[in-house]
Amino acid sequence: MRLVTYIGLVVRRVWAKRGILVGSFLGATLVSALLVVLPLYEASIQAVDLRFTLGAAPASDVDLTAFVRTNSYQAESASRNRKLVTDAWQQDVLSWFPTMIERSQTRELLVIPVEGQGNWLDQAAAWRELIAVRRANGDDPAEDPPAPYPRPPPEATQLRVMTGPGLASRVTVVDGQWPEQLESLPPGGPGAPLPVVLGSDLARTIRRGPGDVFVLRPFVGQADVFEVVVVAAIVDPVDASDKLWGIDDPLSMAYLPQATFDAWLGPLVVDPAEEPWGRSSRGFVDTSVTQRWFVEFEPDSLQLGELAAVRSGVSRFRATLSQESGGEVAAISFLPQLLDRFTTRSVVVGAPILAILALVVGGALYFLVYTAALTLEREGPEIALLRTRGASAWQTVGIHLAQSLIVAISAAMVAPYVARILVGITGRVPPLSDLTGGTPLDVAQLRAIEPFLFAGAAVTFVSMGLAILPIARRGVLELRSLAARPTRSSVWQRYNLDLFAIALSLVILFQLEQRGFINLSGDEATLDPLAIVFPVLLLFTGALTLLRILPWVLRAIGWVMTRSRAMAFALPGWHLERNPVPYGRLALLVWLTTGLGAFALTYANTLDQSFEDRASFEAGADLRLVAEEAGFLTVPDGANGTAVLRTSGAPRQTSRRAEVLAVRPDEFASIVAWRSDFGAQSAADVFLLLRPDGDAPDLGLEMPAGATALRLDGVVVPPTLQEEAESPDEPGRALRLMMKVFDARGRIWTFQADRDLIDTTWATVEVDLGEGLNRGYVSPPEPPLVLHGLWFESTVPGPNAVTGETVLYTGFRAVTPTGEVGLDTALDELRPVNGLMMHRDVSGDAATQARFSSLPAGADPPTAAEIASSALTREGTVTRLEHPTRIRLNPAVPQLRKIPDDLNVLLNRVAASIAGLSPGDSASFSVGNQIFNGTMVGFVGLVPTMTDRRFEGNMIVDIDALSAWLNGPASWSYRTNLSRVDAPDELWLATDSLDSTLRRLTAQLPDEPDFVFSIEGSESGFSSRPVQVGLVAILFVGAATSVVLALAGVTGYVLLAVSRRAREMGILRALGLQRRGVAATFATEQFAVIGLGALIGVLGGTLLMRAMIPFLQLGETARDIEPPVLLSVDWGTLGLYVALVGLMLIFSVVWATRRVSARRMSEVLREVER
Amino acid sequence: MARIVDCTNVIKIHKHGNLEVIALQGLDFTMEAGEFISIVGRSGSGKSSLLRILAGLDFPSAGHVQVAGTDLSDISESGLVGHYRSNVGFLWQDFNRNLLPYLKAVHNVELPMMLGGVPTRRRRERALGLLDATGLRSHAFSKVHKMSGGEQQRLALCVALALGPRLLLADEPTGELDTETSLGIYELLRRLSHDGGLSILVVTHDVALAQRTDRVVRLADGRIVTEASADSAESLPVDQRGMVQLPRGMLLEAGIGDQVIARLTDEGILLEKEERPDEY
Repeated sequence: MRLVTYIGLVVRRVWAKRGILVGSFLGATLVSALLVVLPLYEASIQAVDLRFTLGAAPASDVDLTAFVRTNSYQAESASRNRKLVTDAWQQDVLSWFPTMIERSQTRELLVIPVEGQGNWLDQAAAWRELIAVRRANGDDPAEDPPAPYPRPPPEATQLRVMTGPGLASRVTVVDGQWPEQLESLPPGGPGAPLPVVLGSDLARTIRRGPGDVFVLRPFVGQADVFEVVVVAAIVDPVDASDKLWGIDDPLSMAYLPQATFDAWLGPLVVDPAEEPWGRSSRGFVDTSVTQRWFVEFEPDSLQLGELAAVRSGVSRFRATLSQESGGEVAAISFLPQLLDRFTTRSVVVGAPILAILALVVGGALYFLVYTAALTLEREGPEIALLRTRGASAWQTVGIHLAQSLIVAISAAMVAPYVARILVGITGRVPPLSDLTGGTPLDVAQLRAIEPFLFAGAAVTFVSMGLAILPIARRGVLELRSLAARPTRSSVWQRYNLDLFAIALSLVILFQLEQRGFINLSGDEATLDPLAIVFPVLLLFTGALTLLRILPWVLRAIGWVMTRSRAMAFALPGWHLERNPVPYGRLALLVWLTTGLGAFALTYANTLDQSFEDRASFEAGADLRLVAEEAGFLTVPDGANGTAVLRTSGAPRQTSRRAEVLAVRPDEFASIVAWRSDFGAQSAADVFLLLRPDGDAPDLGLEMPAGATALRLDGVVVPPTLQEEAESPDEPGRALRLMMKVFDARGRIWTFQADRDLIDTTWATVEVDLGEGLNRGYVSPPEPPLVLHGLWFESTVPGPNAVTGETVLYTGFRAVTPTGEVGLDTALDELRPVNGLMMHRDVSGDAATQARFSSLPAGADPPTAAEIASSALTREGTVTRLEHPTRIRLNPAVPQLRKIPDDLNVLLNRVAASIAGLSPGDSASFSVGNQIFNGTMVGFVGLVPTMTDRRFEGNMIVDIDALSAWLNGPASWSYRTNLSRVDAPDELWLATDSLDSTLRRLTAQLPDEPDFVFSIEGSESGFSSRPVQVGLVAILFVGAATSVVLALAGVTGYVLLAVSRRAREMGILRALGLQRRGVAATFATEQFAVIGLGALIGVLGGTLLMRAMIPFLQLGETARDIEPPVLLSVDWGTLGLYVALVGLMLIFSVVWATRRVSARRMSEVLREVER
Repeated sequence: MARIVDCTNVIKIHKHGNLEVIALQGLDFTMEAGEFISIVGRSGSGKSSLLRILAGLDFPSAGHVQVAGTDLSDISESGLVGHYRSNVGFLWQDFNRNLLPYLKAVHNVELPMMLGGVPTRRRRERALGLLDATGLRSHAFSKVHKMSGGEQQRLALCVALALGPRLLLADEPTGELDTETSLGIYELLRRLSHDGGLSILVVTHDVALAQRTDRVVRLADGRIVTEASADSAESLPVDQRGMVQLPRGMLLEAGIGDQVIARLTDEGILLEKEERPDEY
């Protein structure tokens, strides 16, 4: 009964004080709602992130692909595999992979025109006639000429033949007719062609239409495996982006119906007597076929709670296929890895969300305590009354606790709805609305929210209820005199608990920095719980510190204000100077508000800047094109480009490999996206260390302008007559002059002379500089050309290598439009290497002398006239090149070569410390397969794009010098089509017109580029990560919430503070101060405090952001982000925010002071009387 | 008669920062049960300090204080609660300090009984009885702010008497009331004392009202300077500047306004009413 009475009293109190309790209720609701928002928001954002991750991932990353690759395709085994895959699909993964497409395709087949090299069919017919005649003549069949099987022309077109169930429905016939299924030989007999369907582009390329006949031949060893086919139809794909086509171009393939494919990929027995080439079987026997199933993933079907299930389903699917097929059917899926990365990212990137939400909860909690304290202050007299009416301390406490309970329960009941609205709203506001399409965020139902609601209610109850305890124990008079006394310092300060809390925060910060915010030791990344609490702790210890220091600062401000003659400054100044402690709470509230706002803005700005930096770091430049020899492309007008070669190497030849970037320093420095902290100096200063004098490296002998060819007169020193007599069948010696030449683009070309130097007579050979052996380059050599090296190769049957031969030459010259230019002397720039001996000024008859140096028995030595007139004799002096006798398998080619200078190398700290090098040290370095001498010329910090974690350390070298080292050594290449050298596969560009530049570059490439990076593209990829975007969204919601709370809090505080000083106000009015003057006096006082709070808030929020950077530093894969995240403050926006909040607070203060000062004089004076 | 209040050599020093103010300087005071006493004196004379000490709201710096047998010089927290519930009732000048504005009249009266653990039915009966006795029965379920000042003070009296205290302490109970209403309150107090045997100690500035009590105790500088019964001639203190404060009743009876003519005679000083011009 008594309880009911108590409750009745409490209910009456709550109702009577509903005005002020609304503030408490609001705060409590926010605390509870934000606590509930924690799991809801995180789960919701994760759900969006999951959808985004899966939706944005390429099909190859999420789909399941099962496949069989075989050289003995059989209809039965194909059918068996189909059933196996279908069963496993339906059993294990159907829920998330609702569709499956099957296709089978051959590897490349060659198109052989029937008319090529004569008509193959006619030749077959003629051959058959010949054989028939030979049979009639009784000739030995073993001596029959072989059948004239169709042979591919040098430039045969390649294609693939494809099939799949329901293929006909996925193409549109543009000409001809889709053929019937053909499970046996065509009706026209053993020689009748097989009907095939062509993609329209392929038909155009091979110039075949319906009814045309040609031959298809697979890449198999047997010459008799080919098929005569007839074009049945020309088709276009219904949907060119259909997954069925995979990476293939449906316009450039040939098609067969499934049954035809099944039949014709195995042998079809035919009668040799009727088959045009006398074969006993037809079909694409032994052709390599891949049977493939695309099991398509449906992103919307996967819920956040099913991650483990889908992982396990995919594993079962793969295991089933492997086991049931004996390893024949394999399956690939990158979905588990994608989900693993997602899980890690959720923890790592989601960590700041939790921390910030904790921060927001902390702020709301402070508001709650603040409001509770205000309430209690107002209730002092009532508590006194209750005490004088006989209420014990516990009865007083009980009444307030019950009141707190009512507020807590009410808040907990409302909180879930508020939380859902809050979470939903974030989906409607930018930047998250960009991902949700402006619809409310789906509120996840994954976790039970009851514990969080309970925690919210408990926090409310405790924070509101606990404040009563010290008050309830106070005596009545003490309670009454509370308002009159100067406020005592808080418990925190009295017992130095604030200092302890600050020390504790610092210890936690140190601990976190030592062991990291994310625990990566287990299978999954987990967030250190301390990390979530840390920002809140830091904020509140900062607040406590502020409360300790603030009175002194306010005293100082007050003192300054008292110097003013204006009453509106002097009076507040006296107040601040004499009794600064009560203003602490107001300043703290303002500090928290502006601090949270400043934090949110700085966070968003830092995140944006970091995304931009990461994008720049990943792309390296405005545009980076990666394709074979992309560095040699012509840079379009309006853009600046530089070639970059990326490879691996090692300083001091250590076993630990470093990533190597070879650049052209001056160009690279002006194009690379550089941040000031990447090195101690600017990009230009760092990279120009590679070319201290600024000149490009000397790569050899520069050809005269307009040189089109090089000529040389020479002879190979023949064997002696004695040797010739001993080995009469030995072929003559013939050596081909070979050259390596750099062109203007830095490409190295290998040229060969038009004819050989021989050992019977002097000959003039010419090297045409217009055409090299390198087939990979997309344009001819571009002058000016630089001769880097020359050597000789043997052209007689056998290996190319030259062993022991001696060459005499003279008259090395360049052919130019204005005549020949002698280069004999200039050739001295090149040095003989790898055992080659060079002798200048040798007598012109040296070859003749050598031939007669050893004579067979009975032979007469030549006369001087004979020697002089010999074809091996040249007037004057010549140069002799002596090749060493080659040691077997020695790949080093004896040659004349420009020896490159020692390479200058920049190392980062890791590489330098591994190798124990410091600037100025010389050492041997390895890059690629070459070893060279180099000098470390300086340190480099971070270099964009150098993020390959397989390597330890980074090396930067000059691309031209490196190219000379890597590509300069000659190789035995006479019989080779040189298609590839160590060439720069990257082109870095600075451009304002990204699309146009990219189009003009790709137009120069034979194929699609391997990769295209751009800062713009990378940045959009980063910043659209839902988790990051969600983070920014919640920050702004938090900042807005804090402003609302601050407005309510400041208004409440000012109302109370001014009301409590009614006596003072009455005196001022009685002394003749006008109402407006009274308001101004009080407002000035509040402004001073609010201004100070805002100022410290901005600094505090920015510092807090600085402390939060380690959270951001961990990237989505739980590894450190490169480049490191730097604090980025947008002072303009921040100033705008503070001005806005300041304006709102000023309005609130003015309103509150005017409201109180507007009271009637009699009312105020009556209060004075009391 | 039993002694309800016994103060011996009570000293009270208030500290305001470094400043010490002696409110009571060795005060000796006793009060018998059923007495109706008024304490008068100038501001700062120590009358309110004495009242607070007797109420248990403040404690003497030295000396001995006993109220209704409870020694207030050395009392525990629970003892103090008992003192509030059983020994004393309070009646303050400020309505807000007497009543909870959000409770109706009867609930305000019931509140102390509820806190004291009186069963529901009994406290309602007693509350209505008290309201009836004070003429507020018809306002039992009225809200406080709808009642007049006199009614609120009568209601406050009901609240103070709710637990049947042995001593009623009133601090300027009629300070905010007009003369007629004030007289009504004092009449009610007198009746409670004389008919109900309630001990009442009233602090007031109003000498005329004080005359309506059984005994007037005058305090000056923290000591009792005179004690007189209501019908005796006035003995008035003269301060160091020669100023005397005349009882209001005496002034009214003599028709003295805000000016007076003082003449020195053989018997002493004669105060005469000053005749003023009509237009003044």
